[in-house]
Amino acid sequence: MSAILSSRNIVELPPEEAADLRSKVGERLAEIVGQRWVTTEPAILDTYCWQYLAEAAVGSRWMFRPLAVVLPETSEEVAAIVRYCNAEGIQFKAISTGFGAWGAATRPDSMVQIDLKRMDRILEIDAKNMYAVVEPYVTGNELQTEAFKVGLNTHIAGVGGQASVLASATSMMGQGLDGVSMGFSCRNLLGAEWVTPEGEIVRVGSFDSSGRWFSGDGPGPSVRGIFRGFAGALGGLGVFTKAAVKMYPWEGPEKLTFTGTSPNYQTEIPEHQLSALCIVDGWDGMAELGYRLGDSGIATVVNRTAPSPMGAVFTADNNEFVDIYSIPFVHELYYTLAVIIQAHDAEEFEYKVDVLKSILSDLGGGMIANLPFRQYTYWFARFSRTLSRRVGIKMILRSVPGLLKMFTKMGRHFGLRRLPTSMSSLVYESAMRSGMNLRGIFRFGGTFWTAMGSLVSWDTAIKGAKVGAQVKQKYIQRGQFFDDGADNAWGGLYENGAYSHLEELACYDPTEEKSGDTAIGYIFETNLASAEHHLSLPLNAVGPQASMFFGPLCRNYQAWQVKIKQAYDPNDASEGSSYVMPDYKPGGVLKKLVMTVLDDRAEIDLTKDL
Amino acid sequence: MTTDLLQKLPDLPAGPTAGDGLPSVRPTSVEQVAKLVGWAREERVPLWPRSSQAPRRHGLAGGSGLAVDMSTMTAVPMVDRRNRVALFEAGVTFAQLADALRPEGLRPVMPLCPRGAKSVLATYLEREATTLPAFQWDLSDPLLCLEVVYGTGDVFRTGSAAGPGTLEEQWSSGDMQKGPMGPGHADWMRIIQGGQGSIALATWCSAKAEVLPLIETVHVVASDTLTPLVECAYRLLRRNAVDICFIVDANAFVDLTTVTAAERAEATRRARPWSLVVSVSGGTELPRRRHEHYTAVLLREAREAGARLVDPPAGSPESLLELLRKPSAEPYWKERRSGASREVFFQTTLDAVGDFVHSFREHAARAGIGPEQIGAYVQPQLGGRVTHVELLVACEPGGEQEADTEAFAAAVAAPLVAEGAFFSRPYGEWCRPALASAGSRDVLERAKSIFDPDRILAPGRLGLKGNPDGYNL
Ligand SMILES: Cc1cc2nc3c(=O)[nH]c(=O)nc-3n(C[C@H](O)[C@H](O)[C@H](O)COP(=O)(O)OP(=O)(O)OC[C@H]3O[C@@H](n4cnc5c(N)ncnc54)[C@H](O)[C@@H]3O)c2cc1C
Ligand SMILES: Cc1cc2nc3c(=O)[nH]c(=O)nc-3n(C[C@H](O)[C@H](O)[C@H](O)COP(=O)(O)OP(=O)(O)OC[C@H]3O[C@@H](n4cnc5c(N)ncnc54)[C@H](O)[C@@H]3O)c2cc1C
Repeated sequence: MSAILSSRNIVELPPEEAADLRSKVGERLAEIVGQRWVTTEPAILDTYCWQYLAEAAVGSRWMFRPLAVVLPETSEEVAAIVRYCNAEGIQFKAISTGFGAWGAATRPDSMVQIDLKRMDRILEIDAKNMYAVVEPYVTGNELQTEAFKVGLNTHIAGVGGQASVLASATSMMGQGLDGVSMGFSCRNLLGAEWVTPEGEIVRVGSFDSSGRWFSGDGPGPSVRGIFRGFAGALGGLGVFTKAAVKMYPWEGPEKLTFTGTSPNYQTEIPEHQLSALCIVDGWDGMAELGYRLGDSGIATVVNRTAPSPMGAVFTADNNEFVDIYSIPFVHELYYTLAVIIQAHDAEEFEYKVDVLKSILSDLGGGMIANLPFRQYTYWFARFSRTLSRRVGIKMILRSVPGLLKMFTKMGRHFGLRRLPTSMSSLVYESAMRSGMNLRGIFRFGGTFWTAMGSLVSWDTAIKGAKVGAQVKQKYIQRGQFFDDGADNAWGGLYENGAYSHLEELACYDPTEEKSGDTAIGYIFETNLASAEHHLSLPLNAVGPQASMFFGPLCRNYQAWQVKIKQAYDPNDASEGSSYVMPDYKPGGVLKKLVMTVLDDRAEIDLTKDL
Repeated sequence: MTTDLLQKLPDLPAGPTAGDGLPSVRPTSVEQVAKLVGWAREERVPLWPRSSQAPRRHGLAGGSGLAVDMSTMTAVPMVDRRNRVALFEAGVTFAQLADALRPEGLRPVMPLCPRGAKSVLATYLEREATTLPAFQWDLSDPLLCLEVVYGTGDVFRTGSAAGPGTLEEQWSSGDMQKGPMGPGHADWMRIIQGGQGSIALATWCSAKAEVLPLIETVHVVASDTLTPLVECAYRLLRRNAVDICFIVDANAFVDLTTVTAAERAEATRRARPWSLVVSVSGGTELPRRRHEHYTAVLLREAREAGARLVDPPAGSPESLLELLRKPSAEPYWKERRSGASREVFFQTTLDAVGDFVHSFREHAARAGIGPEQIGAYVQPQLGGRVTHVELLVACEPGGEQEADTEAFAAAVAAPLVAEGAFFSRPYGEWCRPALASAGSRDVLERAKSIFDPDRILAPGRLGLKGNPDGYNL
């Protein structure tokens, strides 16, 4: 039994009882949505069980089977399903695009999986007032594609453009590459239609009284605060059927132009846009660069990706990756930020690019960017010089053969003419469409988990990155995690630098025995380090286990969460295993794992960079 | 309140009796507030928080009990330029905050010329509209973290201020209480904000501050009709070209910029029916270039919208900038026309403002209120996505006219809601139409029961149920 699973009080129904219950639930749900949109077929139910991080959640690649999967088409149907579950004494959990263990069942035969993929309409894009109203199954890229046509863009979470806009805004996380200009998902929420855990349809914000969606707070206290904190309720507090989200100005064309064939696409960087990989000296330089970019308000994207995932995102397979990653020049690209700038016209573009150049000049940095050839060369030379200051000229020279080989290959893929800007184009594609992150991160070990990542000042985020890497080093040395150089901190700025995040990615093989518990050990250790160094609540401060640990350190917020859960979900119908379980107690295996970690802590020395 | 009860009151300095006749106490620490709430729970005494200093504009709404006056809590323990943030107590006024921020090169985010006595924390807790829409990412901005005492008597900190660690320990890690979310799965700050003191009493907050630009100029774009200015505001906000940005009609502009009768007469003659007031700043990098560029953008957009750049109706552009950076001079600008006024305010989108102003004037005319009594102030929020519309009805203080105006302001909400106005901050009579939907009311009632189970905090505010057992007074 896995550490997390050991904490759950699992009572399995005898097989016959389970089968009876399943067929009864299936029949009743069919009365609500029609036979076609319900299934209790084991083969289909299993497709909902193979989930990312299942090995950590339940110690297997498979989550538990739900009693049934139901696909409602309207909010009223959702409400009827929820009311039925309440009456029947069974649980339910909704998914939008359904990517991750948190959306699935954590006990056998206990809940109805509400799959919202039939609710897939963009209900409105108000170009003037810059907001959109979406149903659950609208993805980031779908909304973005339509938004571009009317001069708007949308924040896309780092999970990628294939994931639901609504799920991110109402229910889970919200970190993304474009945060500096397009914020964090829950802060973009302008209202929602919420089927409460008891099955009431509540419209949150201006829509309720005005029929329009421009404002999400009020009348009076903001209901957004009840269902959505830093993390969201991850399915544990009802179902969201519509969401209004803030949109942002897009200065590019109605449609982006691509060339190449899968997997080697190149995106044409539109006029008056810059895509730059900027380099500075060490974390101190990164700190200054981040603060000045934030203050200046010029950037559309400010993102830090460490060399290993950068190499993986830019290559199509692991062989190509090894070729690139073994070039010292690439391997050492630790202190870089990807910066994208968009401008309304040539004049504004020139101003913004000059600001970037001026900041980089002050910090002794350089960049690789889609600049006119002479400028490109100048800034590339500065880029190499900045890097060589840290790694030595010899290492740069040693990179030349590898770089030549890489350029030849890229030339073949993308054409010679595009060679100088191909890197910028890849950065651009990855950041603006958020379409390439996953191809990078899953490739090394088969899966990954992530740690640290508080929403804090940029200085503190950097401190967290150092702490995270030093904890992770131990797991790499033991061969439990892929050797990504330890510093694999990913993140950036939000709201022009108002706050920031850097999370420490860790890649591993989920098929290895106990890999899930190893990952949980890593999460616990980074959580502990985060608390000890006063780095605020990390992104894993989610769910009953973490609340139990962090609550007492943070004004006992876990107790207030339980009160919210009980007030709005008195029957505990909304499956809350990633949110709040009022009677949660840690199981024996988890306790043992915690003791093991405590006995063998990684040493952390913040005076040194890895 | 009986002397009996007062004698049992925890030992706290007494404050002045408010206009509404409530006795008040002046706690100076969160421990004292917590003790007070504990006592009030036991004795079932309603508590009415206030942080602004006298004179108050509307008095405290609702019944009996004890006012909790936090206006003397005026410390500013932290200002941090690097992270553009400050942490300050409940009683700090905008002038005090601006004084603390200025040496660090920062400025507070302000409503349009607030009362001098107005508490910054209370303003932010109320989600009052502020004049820098480009810097507002969420309607909860600029409020970040809070220290509060819930109606249960529990002390809590919201957002990243919750911990781990004390404020000082967090500061030593470079974290300056900039995370508004959480801790955990709820946004406690957001539940408290907009609650008009009915969820928790706040003792301090952290809030975003913005860089005080070295170069900033104010411009007035004028027009005979509202539409061109709305167009112009949309375009400027989309491009992030302006810092300050709001629209006023002639009456509101005159009230805002003049005090003496002679000034008013001259300004009234000069003011155009509608003015869009904006500032262009140099920001933090290459300031001259930025300022020149966006000034040119402003000129172009104004011309294209068919509007003209003019001087303010009174004073110079420079003096207008000075005025907009400060609280209102006395008398408060909203009371300059006739000595008193009532505001009716709600949210909509910029493109709908014209219709609402028109409709409001018609409602007013039917109530015998002439156009000369009405001023309009239109404040884009959230980068131009939402607009706060504030209609000011001037009246003579103390007499029948004020009572009639009050009655009109209370009654006009219902038809405006029916026309689509969103009363996101409903007071008094406005609560009924604003919270007509049973679903949202039920959600709020449950929240109230969690944080203030005995319903001692500002009971009845927002139309939420009071204590069914009545109060032991
Ligand atoms: C590889 C990978 C990378 C990730 N990287 C990021 C990242 O960079 N940034 C980030 O923010 N997140 C990230 N995530 C986490 C998460 O997947 C995201 O937050 C994502 O936005 C949610 O989309 P989804 O398809 O996973 O949604 P779902 O799985 O559909 O939902 C996620 C959770 O929300 C609940 N939920 C979904 N829809 C509803 C609804 N309509 N009503 C009620 N509850 C609902 C579900 O029950 C589930 O618990 C990542 C996840 C993976 C697998
Ligand atoms: C019919 C009617 C119309 C109204 N119209 C208006 C109006 O037009 N404009 C307007 O601004 N208000 C209006 N109010 C609201 C109310 O009258 C004022 O908010 C109240 O008078 C407070 O005055 P103040 O500004 O001195 O208080 P402040 O101290 O500034 O307090 C403002 C609000 O915040 C709460 N509060 C203050 N300090 C704290 C704290 N530390 N912790 C928690 N909560 C706190 C108060 O209880 C109050 O609700 C109206 C009320 C009614 C009944």
